[in-house]
Amino acid sequence: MALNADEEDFEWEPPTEAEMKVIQARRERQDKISKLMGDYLLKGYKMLGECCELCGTILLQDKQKKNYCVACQELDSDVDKDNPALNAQAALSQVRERQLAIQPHPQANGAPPTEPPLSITGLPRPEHCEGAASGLRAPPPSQPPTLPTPSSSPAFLLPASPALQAASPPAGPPPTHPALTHAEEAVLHKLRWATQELQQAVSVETSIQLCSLIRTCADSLRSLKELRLS
Amino acid sequence: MAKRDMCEAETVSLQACLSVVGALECVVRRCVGPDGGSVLFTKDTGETLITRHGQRILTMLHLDHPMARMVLECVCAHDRITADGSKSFILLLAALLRGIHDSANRHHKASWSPATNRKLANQLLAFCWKELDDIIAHDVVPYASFLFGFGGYRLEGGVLPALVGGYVTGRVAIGQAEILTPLLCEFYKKVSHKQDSTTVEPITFLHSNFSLLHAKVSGLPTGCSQVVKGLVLACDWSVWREAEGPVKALVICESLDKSLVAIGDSVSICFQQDWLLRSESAMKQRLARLLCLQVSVVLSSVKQPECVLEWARLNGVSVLECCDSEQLDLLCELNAAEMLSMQPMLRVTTLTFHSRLQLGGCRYAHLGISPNGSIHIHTLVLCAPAPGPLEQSVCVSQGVFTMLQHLCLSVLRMREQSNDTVSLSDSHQYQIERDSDSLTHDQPHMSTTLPDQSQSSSLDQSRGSIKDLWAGILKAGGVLPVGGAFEVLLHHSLLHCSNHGDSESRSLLAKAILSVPRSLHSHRPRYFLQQQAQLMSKLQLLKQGHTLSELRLGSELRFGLGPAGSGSLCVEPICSKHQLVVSVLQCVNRLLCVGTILHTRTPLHRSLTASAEDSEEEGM
Repeated sequence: MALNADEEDFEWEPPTEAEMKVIQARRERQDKISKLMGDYLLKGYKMLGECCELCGTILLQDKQKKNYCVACQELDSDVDKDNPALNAQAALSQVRERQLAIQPHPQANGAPPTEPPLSITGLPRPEHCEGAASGLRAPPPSQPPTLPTPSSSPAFLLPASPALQAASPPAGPPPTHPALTHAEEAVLHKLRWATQELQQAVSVETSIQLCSLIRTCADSLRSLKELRLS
Repeated sequence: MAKRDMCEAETVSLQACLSVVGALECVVRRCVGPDGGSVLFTKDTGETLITRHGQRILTMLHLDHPMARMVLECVCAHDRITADGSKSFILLLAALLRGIHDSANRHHKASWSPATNRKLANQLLAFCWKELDDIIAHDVVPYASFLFGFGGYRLEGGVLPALVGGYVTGRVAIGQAEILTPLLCEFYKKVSHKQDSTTVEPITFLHSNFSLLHAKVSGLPTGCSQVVKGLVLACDWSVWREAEGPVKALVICESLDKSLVAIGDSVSICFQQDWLLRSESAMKQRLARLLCLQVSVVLSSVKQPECVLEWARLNGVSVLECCDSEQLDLLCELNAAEMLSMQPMLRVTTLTFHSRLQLGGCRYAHLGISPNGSIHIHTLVLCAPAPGPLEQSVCVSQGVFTMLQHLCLSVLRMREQSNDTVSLSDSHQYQIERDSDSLTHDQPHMSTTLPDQSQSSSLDQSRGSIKDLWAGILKAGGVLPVGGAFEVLLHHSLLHCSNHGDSESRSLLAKAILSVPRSLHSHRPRYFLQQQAQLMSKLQLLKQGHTLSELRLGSELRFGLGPAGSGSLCVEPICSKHQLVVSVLQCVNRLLCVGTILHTRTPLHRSLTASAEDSEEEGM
């Protein structure tokens, strides 16, 4: 085995900065999961011999015999934070990306070369780094109809997220109805406005109202997304 | 379903091991070291348990995952041998698995397969068997013997208090530790009866019989703990008569009227009245025979009938009932009790004294036993305000003797091996005990006449009668200061070893071994790095040939104890640490060689999970 290692070393390149970030994020997530699991074990939860179907973490069982997955239920899913339908930040960043893409863009910035969507280990890219890696790819090509492309990768993983009810991944980017696009734009615009207002809000009541507005906008976006997919 | 099966096969990957061991690590990480915390367990019945003993904590968790149970099994097996290092086991295991995971990702990502893990596991095991012993014997042990050998650092109070202190301090509260350490040393000294013991017999005796040689008293402050001469039995005299001096005692294991009806006798009911009379007279005869033996004390492991007690009161015989039969067996064994050839089987022995002892709110029986060879029986009376600290004290005391026994046996084994291979290479600075008069101060290096001395002293040692067991252990390089000295030395020797052996295993182990002292010093990482750097620089200077006195030994010995002067130096045995590394490597091998987990659903398991409470499933 040592001999094989020598041959492979010649082909091995040190991980790029992007990959290092991904590895680092993965490790931190793993550490958080371990810590949570340890705390639950001390609280009297039982460590089962089975793994969660969605994320592969070991399942815990409480005294009432209910199974509990630490990663799915407590940690923010790595996928959801990049899903524009669920996260306002992701939605805003998607809007910005689209605006950048609409302007004629001479070349990709110094981002690392686009790789086929495979992870480092050669297996299909795991969910939790899809979002991070998709941000590192070159900005999408410059047409609005191809807008679904960057969102199709998180959309591909929608079935993995328990929050959404989407039944099957789309085969390719579905055609967008203009009304839906306009509706999405309007909602996103209101979302952005609400966020700005929230930053300047002084009273508690206003803040609460703005937060509920943001939540409603997110719900609307989710429904619009479902509508688009169906 | 195929995907599900594939998922199941994949779950037996390194990732699964890592998650399991990572969770266990998070559980024990906060309890490591003297500054670590304790875990409070509460049961539904209201009982509480406060502990920081790693094996105890892990056993109390509900672990159904097969890998977790395998790791727990390994931890328990390791704890049985050394009574030390359960938490360090988990920390080292986690660090090693992480290192293997990273290296698998880095080097073998293109060609990863389950066989890769197995090959690596076998590599590690081969390294453990072939190279680890040599590395420790050649690089770590000579440093230890150099440090504490002639011309080196003198441990104030001797090596035994330092060893016991090092063990106890990390396991009980500081107040308890300050009381327990001198108490345990006093206990050992009184049992072995000499200032410088020469054999390991007292330690072995204490280790195997500790459960019979201690008495627990709850409700008194810890400072009331003491060592009393003789054997203390946790029951009170049923019939008590004051008497001085040596007495003859009868040890009985059955009720005196039980054997009246021998096996095979038939009793016919119509002669009942006659039978009663006959049995009474038979009993009277028996008791009369006992009086002829001039027995003044009766020790019974069962309850005796009232007529026996009445007889005892009338004839001035003290009776002790419901004793622990194992303690009675020990008593008879040490006193060479003789057996009488009559029914029931009775044993007669001599006690030097017998008295009543008042401890806390209870009365105990106190028996004196004459010395047997080098063993003088004493009992350790442990007091604590509550059952929780009491259990901790008992556990720690038992652990101390297990640890000491492991150390003594390893050092003797090491001596026997070095007797067989007299060749010592010149590059090692190995000090062997010689008469101190003939040595001069500036001769720490090995001289050319050493092989001859080693032969003569080794002949002495092979007979097992060395001048001083503990000084011999010190000079043979059996102990190192606590706090991470062993790990730093091993790390250094693994990285700078000039052997041609397996470099991958060595680098994996070197990276992982420092995780243990890092966790120990997690609240002051900079201090640990400073200590590590100082130790390394001193090591370099030693290798270049400076003497110990030149180096002005000082702070690097205080590894982990804070600035010099905050308590006496504590040491730990190298063999325990060595055993820890070996156990962890074996456990890693077991984990990595797992191919698939087959879940079987046996009916028994089902009924347990369905009906019983979770707490009852702890027995593995």
